[in-house]
Amino acid sequence: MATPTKAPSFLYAAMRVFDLSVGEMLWSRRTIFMGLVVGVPVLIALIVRGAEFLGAQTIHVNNTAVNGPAIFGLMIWAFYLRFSIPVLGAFYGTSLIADEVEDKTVTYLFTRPVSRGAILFGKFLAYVLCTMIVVLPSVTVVWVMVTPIGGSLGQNFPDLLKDLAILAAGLIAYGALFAFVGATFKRPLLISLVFVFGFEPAVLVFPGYLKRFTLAYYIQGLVPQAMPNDSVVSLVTQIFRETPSLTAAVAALAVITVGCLWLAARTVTNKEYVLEQ
Amino acid sequence: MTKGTRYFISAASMIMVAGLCTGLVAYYSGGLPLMASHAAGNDDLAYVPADSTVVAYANVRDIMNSEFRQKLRQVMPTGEGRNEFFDETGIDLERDVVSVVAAFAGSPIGSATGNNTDKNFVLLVRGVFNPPVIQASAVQRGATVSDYKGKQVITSKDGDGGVAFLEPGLAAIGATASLHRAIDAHAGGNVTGNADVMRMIGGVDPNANAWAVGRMDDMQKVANLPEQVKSQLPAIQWFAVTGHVNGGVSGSIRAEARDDQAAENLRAVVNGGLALARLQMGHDNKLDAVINSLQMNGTGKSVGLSFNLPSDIVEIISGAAGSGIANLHKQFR
Repeated sequence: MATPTKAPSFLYAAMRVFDLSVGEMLWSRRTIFMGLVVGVPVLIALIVRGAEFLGAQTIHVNNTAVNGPAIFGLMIWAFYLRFSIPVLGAFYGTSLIADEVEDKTVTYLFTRPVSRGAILFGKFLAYVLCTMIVVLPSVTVVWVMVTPIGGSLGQNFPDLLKDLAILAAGLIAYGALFAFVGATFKRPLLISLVFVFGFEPAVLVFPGYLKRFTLAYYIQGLVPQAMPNDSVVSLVTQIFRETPSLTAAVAALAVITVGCLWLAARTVTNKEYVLEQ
Repeated sequence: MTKGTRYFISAASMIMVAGLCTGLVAYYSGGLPLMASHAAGNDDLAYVPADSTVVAYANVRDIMNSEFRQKLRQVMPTGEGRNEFFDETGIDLERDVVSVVAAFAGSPIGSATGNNTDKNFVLLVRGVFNPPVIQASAVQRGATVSDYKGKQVITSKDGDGGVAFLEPGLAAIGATASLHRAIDAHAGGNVTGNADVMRMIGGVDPNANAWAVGRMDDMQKVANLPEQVKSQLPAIQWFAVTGHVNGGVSGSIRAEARDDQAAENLRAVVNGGLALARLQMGHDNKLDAVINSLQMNGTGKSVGLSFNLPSDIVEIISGAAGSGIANLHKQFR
């Protein structure tokens, strides 16, 4: 009689799932969407740089001459913080478990001799790697192209590092939150998009404590660039804006990430996924 | 992990590392020479003393030839001041001057506490001059001519101010001691070695035809600001004003606050003002365009506000200024 082999450790199992999931995630149809999301800012940066190269004296935004660092700040807010990060978190985070349920492959996955929590964690690590290797290089390319227009790369380098760290933290936190949503609810993408485009912007406009239940409050409070006042809503948001301290924001993001991942792992472990026939 | 995935991850990582290395090199070398901005007027900074805390530049020729100037000229009386300056120095501001750099140091020469700020002010004028004619005109008025380290310095009769010819096409105007300091600065110890001032100048839009940077506490000594404004100023350490004058006027005001919190508070104040301005919108399309052009920006300790005054608005402002001056003329006649 063969002796039963020992079940792999949590970390080993998570790394195996991570290894398998990276390629699967990277070459999925979602990657085309992700390419578009992070490709548009690069394309705009190329156009801006080209215009400057061809002799455009000044670049105008809202009829106002702006320099490279200001354009980069606007792009960080408009393209990355308000759109790419939450949307990528929603699309990829909710799909970690929901896709397996939808494709009816979750049964095969869960029959493996590894803990369900390790499966979720491995998939989450794959999500973090896939989104970061696409988003962060895009930000760096935009920065290198846009900042020298009337600005200095050297002076703005610390802000780039801050931006990269904030975007990475945002991807991790949104991913963890939506992984929990994906593991718990039946229509996770819809719920996530309502949270990103409905709840968060609405709550941030009003004064009060409710904004502390958003991720945007902690992430946007760390951004070194000023929030653009491109609409009346933005202006009102800025008036009632409270900025948490660095320690508070980092601690809150860490608690939310760990808490959501733990809850997601617990849900995946305990929940019986009934596959629709 | 497949080979394709590995290649993709490696390529993305290399792009990022290349970008970060570029930034790192620029950070430690103070900005890559080919990429860093170069504000207009930098050449004349060699004559600006190292302890200058407010430095300003204007491309006079650009501004004089601008549509803005032409419109202003139609509605505002000109000539008296210009003629007086021409009589005194032989320099026609409109025709002979290409650019000016003004520099001011907070403490007066030879004193750490005095208030006579004009003693430490120098104006560097670049243009087309005829030193012998200017010298003859000045001597006729009782001025004296001396030599300081090989440069000709003309001192007025009362001994308060004068002109020094620093190099062909470059003259300095100011108190005699300030002129001496400008000449000394060129030999060594000029403002290009002042990291704080140069950092602010480095941030100026290279296309701007007028700019001013300086320390806020020293600016208070120059400008007679209201008490309410002064009370808000300690939070601001440095300021930079940049303008591009053509048909209209576009530019930006940048303040560097004491710390991130002070900058955040300042942004909140500016945002409040902008929100108030936006509430007034809807009555006048031209004014709406101006309010829409107000854009706040800035990172960390820096707070910026950019603006754009279209030519229509300039006409209105200059028209109002013109009629105001005409009324004053009537009253004093």
